Amino acid sequence: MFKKITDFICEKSYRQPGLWMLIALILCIPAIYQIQQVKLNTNPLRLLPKNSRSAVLSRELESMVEEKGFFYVLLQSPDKEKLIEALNTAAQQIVKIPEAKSITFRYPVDFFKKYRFLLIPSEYLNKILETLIRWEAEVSPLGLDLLGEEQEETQREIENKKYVDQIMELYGNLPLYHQSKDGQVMGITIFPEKGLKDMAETRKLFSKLKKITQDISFKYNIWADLGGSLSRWVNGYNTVISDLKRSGMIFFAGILLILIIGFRSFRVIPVLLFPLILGLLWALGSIPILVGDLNIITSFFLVVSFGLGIDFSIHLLKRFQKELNHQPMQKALKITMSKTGKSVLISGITTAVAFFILAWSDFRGVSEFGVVGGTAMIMILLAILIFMPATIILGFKIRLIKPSLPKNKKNKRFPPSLFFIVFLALILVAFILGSLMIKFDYNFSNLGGKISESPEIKNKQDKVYPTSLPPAAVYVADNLKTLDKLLQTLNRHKTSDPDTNIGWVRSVRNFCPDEQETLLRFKIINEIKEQVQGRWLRRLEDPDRKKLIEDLQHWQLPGKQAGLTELPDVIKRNFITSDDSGKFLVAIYTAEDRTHGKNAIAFTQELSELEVPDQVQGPVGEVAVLAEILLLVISEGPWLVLIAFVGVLLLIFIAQRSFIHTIWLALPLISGLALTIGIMGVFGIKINFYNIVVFPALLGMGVDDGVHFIRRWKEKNQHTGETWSDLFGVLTITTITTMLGYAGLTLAHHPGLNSIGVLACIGLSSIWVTSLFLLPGLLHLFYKPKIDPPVK
Amino acid sequence: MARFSFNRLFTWGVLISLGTAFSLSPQSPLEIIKTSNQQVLEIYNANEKIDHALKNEIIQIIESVTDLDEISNRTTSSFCCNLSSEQCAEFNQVFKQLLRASSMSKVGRYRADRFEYLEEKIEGNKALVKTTAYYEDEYLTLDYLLEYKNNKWKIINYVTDDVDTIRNYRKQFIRLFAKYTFSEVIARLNKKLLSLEEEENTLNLDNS
Repeated sequence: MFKKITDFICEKSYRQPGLWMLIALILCIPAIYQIQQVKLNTNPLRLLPKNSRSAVLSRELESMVEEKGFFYVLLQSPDKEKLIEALNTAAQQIVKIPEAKSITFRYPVDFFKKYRFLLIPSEYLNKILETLIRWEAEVSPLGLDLLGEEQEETQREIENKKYVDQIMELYGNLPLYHQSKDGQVMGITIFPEKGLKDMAETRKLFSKLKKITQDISFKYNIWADLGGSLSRWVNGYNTVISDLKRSGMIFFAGILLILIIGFRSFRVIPVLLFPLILGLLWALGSIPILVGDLNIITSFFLVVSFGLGIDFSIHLLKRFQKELNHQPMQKALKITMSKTGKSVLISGITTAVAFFILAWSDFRGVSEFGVVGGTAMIMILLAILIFMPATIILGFKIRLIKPSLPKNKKNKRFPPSLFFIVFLALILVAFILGSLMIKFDYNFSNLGGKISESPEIKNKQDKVYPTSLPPAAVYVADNLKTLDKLLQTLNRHKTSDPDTNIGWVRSVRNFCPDEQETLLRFKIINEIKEQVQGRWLRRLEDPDRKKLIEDLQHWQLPGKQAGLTELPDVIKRNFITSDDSGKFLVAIYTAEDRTHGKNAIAFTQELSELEVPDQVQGPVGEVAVLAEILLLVISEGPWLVLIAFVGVLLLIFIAQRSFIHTIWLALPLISGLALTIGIMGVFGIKINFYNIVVFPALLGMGVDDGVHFIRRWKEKNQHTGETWSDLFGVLTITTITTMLGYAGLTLAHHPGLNSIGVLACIGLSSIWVTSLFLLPGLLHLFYKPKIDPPVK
Repeated sequence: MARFSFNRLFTWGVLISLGTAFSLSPQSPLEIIKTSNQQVLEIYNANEKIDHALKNEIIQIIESVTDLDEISNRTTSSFCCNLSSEQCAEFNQVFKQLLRASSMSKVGRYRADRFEYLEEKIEGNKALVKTTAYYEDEYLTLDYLLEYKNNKWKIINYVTDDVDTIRNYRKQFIRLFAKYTFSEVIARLNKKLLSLEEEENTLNLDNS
C-alpha cells in the first residue's frame, strides 16, 4: 500500500516536477498569512489549564484585581536639588505616555503624619507597648525584664519584628518623595494600562520609559534606569527572544556545517531544506488555530522540529545517493521512497505520537508542546513524503545531487561480548545511582520567567522601595462586613495553626480598622502615651529608642480613625478593586520563602482548605499559579512518560509485527533513558517543570535511530556490520542535527529553556551511544547473518 | 572607671536604705533611709570590690528591713483571683525568690557619692520618703514607700525616676498571663531565676 502511494507520487513528480513545486508554494500562502498572528506569551498563568482553579479565578477577578505589575524609574545623584528637578521632569514626561495609566512619586505625608500610630495594627502596637515596658524594667535597678524571649526568635518573629521596624521607620520618617534613606536615589512608580495582559504594549511602554530615563540621564548628567516587576518581565521576555535567536543562529550554522560535512557538498542543501521548510511553514501557520499563541515551552518548537525534520530529508537523500550507484534515477527514487520512506514514516509517526500523548496533559506548557510538536511532525512528514520526490528530481536535473562515493565494504569488527555486558552493567549502575540521586527542583527562582535586574539597579531599587514584593494571594470581598468576616477567619486560622504558611494579611482594615480594632488601637496608644511619661525616659541612651519616645510624645492622637474616604489613592489602589465595583482586596503573604515550590504548594493548599465566607472570591496570585503548575507536573509527569513509552512501543509493534524486533528496537531507547537518568543524578542535574517535557519527547525522538537500524538490519539479512557501516554516518548526522535544535538552548539565559536544552542533549547523546554501540553489539552477539549481503 | 549608670546609683541607694532601716527601728522613715544610706555607704567606701561575703551581708540587711512578702503580695495579688490558692502561693513564692535573686545579682555593681533628702510624708501607717541620688554630675530621683507594721517601718515599694517597681512588674504579668498559662508563666519565672543564679555563681567563681 505504502509502496503504491510512493510509487504514484514518484511517477507523477517525475513527469511534472515544476507543477508539484508550484502546488507546494501555493499551499504556503495561507500558512504565511497565519504566521503573522503567532505571538509569544510568557505569563505563567498561560501554562495552566483553562478550567484550573487559578485560571478560572484569575479570569473572574481580572477586572477587579490588577495583576498588571509596575515599572520604577530610578534616578540617582548626590545633588538633591538637581535630582528633584530631574524627578519632576521625568514625571511630567511619563504622565503623557498613553500606555501609562498612572504614576506616583510622592507619599501622602500629611495622611501618614496625622494618623501615624493609628495605622499600626493593635498586634504590633501591643508589641511596641511591651517593648516600652521592657525598657522601663531595664532602667529600673531592681526591675527585671520578664517579657524578653530567651530562646532564639523564630523566622516569623524576626519577620514580624522587621515589619514593625519598617513601618515605624516608614511612618516616622516618611519623606515627600519616593527616595532612599540618604535621599540620593529617587524613584517613580508607573502603573501600566495593560501590563501583563499585553506584552506588546508593555514593551512599548518599556521602550518609552527607557528613552525618557536616557534623556533625563543625559540632560541632568545623573544616573537613571528602569526597574520594577514589569521591567523584570520585559527583560525575561527579551531574554527568551534573544535566547531563541541565539539558539536559532547556532542551530542553523551548525546544521549547515553538519550537512556540508555529511554530504561533502553544499549543493544538496536546497534539496534537503525545501520540503522541510514547507512542513515547518504549515506547522507554524497552524499554531494560531491550534493553541492561539506560543508559551515559553512551545516557543522553541521551530528549532526542535527543524532538528527532527531534517533527519527525514537526510535519510532519504543519503539513500537516494546510495541507490544512484546501482539504479537509474527513477528507480533509485522509488526504492528510496518506498524503503527509507517507510522508515521515515514509522519514526515520524512514532515521534508525533509521543508528542500527541503529551496533549493529554492538563499542564498547558506540556500539552501545547505535544500538540504543536506532534502537528509539526505530521506536517513535516507530509511535506517530505509528498514533495521530496519532486525536489529530488529537480535537484538531480540541475545537478545538485550526485551519487554517493562507494564505501569500503569491509565488515566492521565488533568488540568481544564482554564489552557489551560491561556496557549494559554500567548503564544499569548509572541508572540505579541516578534514580537514587536525582531530584526535583522546587525552587521557582531557578526557573522563573522573570530575569532579575542588574545588581546595580536592584540595589538602588531596594533602597527606594524596600518592600515591593507583590502579595502571594489576593481575595476579593464584596463589602466591609464580608471583609471583616474573612479577616476573622484568616486570623483565627493563623492563631490556631502555629505552623501556618500564611504570613502577613493586609487589607484596607490596616488603615481603616473596624470599630473593635479602632477602640483597641486607641486604648493601646493611650497606654503607650502614658508609658512614655516619666523621668526614666531621659536615661535611655540608644538614639533609636530616644527617637521613638520623642515621636510618641509629640504625636497628637487624632479624635477619630481615618475613614475610607480619607485614604490616599496610593493606599486605595492596593486594597480596593480596580474596577468601579468598590469591592475590597485582602492581600496575603507567605510565612516562608515563596520561591520554594513546597512552600508555595503548602500555602496554596492551606488557602484552598480555608472556609471563607460567602461573597468572597479568590484567591488569585502568582504563587497559586506556580503551585498549581508544580502539582500538575508532579502528578502527571511520571504517567505521561509511561503512557508515551507504551504508545511508542505499541506503534513500533504495529509497524514491525514482531515482538522480538519491538524489544530490540526499544532496547536503545530504554537503556539510553537509563543512562540519561544516571548522568543527571551523578551530575546533580535536577528535573523541573520545564525539562520534564523532554522525557516523553525523547521517547519519540530516540526511537528513530532504532527504527532505521533494525529496518536496515532486516533488509541486510541481519548483517550487523554492513548495517552499522551504512548507518553510522547518517545516524550520527541526524542525531547531531536533532541535538542542534536543543544545543542552542543550553546557552539560553532563561533557566527553564536552558534546562530543556541540557537534558535533551544528554538524552539524545545517550540514545545515540546505545543505538550505535549497544544495539549493534548485542545484535552481533545474538544473531548471525542469514546469507551474505547481496552483491552490489 | 566603669561608666556611671543611674541603675547603679538607684540600686545603691535602695540597698543602703533597706540595709540600715532594720537596725535603728523604731526610727522615722526618713531616719531609716538616712542612716541606712550612711551605713551601706561605709561598706562601699571601705571595700573597692564587693565580694560574695559583702554581698551576703548587704542582702541580709535588705531582707531584714524590706517587706519582700508585701512587695510580692502587692505585685501578685491582683492575679490571684484567677488562680487557685495553691497556684497563688506558688506564684508568690517564686516571685519572691526572683526578687531576692534580682537584688543579689545587682548588689555591688553600683555606687553613688551623695544623697539629697527632699521630703518625708507620713499618712497613717504609710510613709513616703523622697530623695535624689547623685553620682558626679548625674542624678536620679528615688522615692521610697514604707509601711509601719509590727512596730517597724519597712520598705514596701520604690519609685525611681517615676518608674514604680510593683507597677512595672504588674504590667509585665498582665502580658504574660494574657499569652501563657499559669504553668508556662511559672516555668518562665523559674527559668529566669535559674539564669540569675547561674550568672551569680559565674561571677563568684570569677571573683574567687
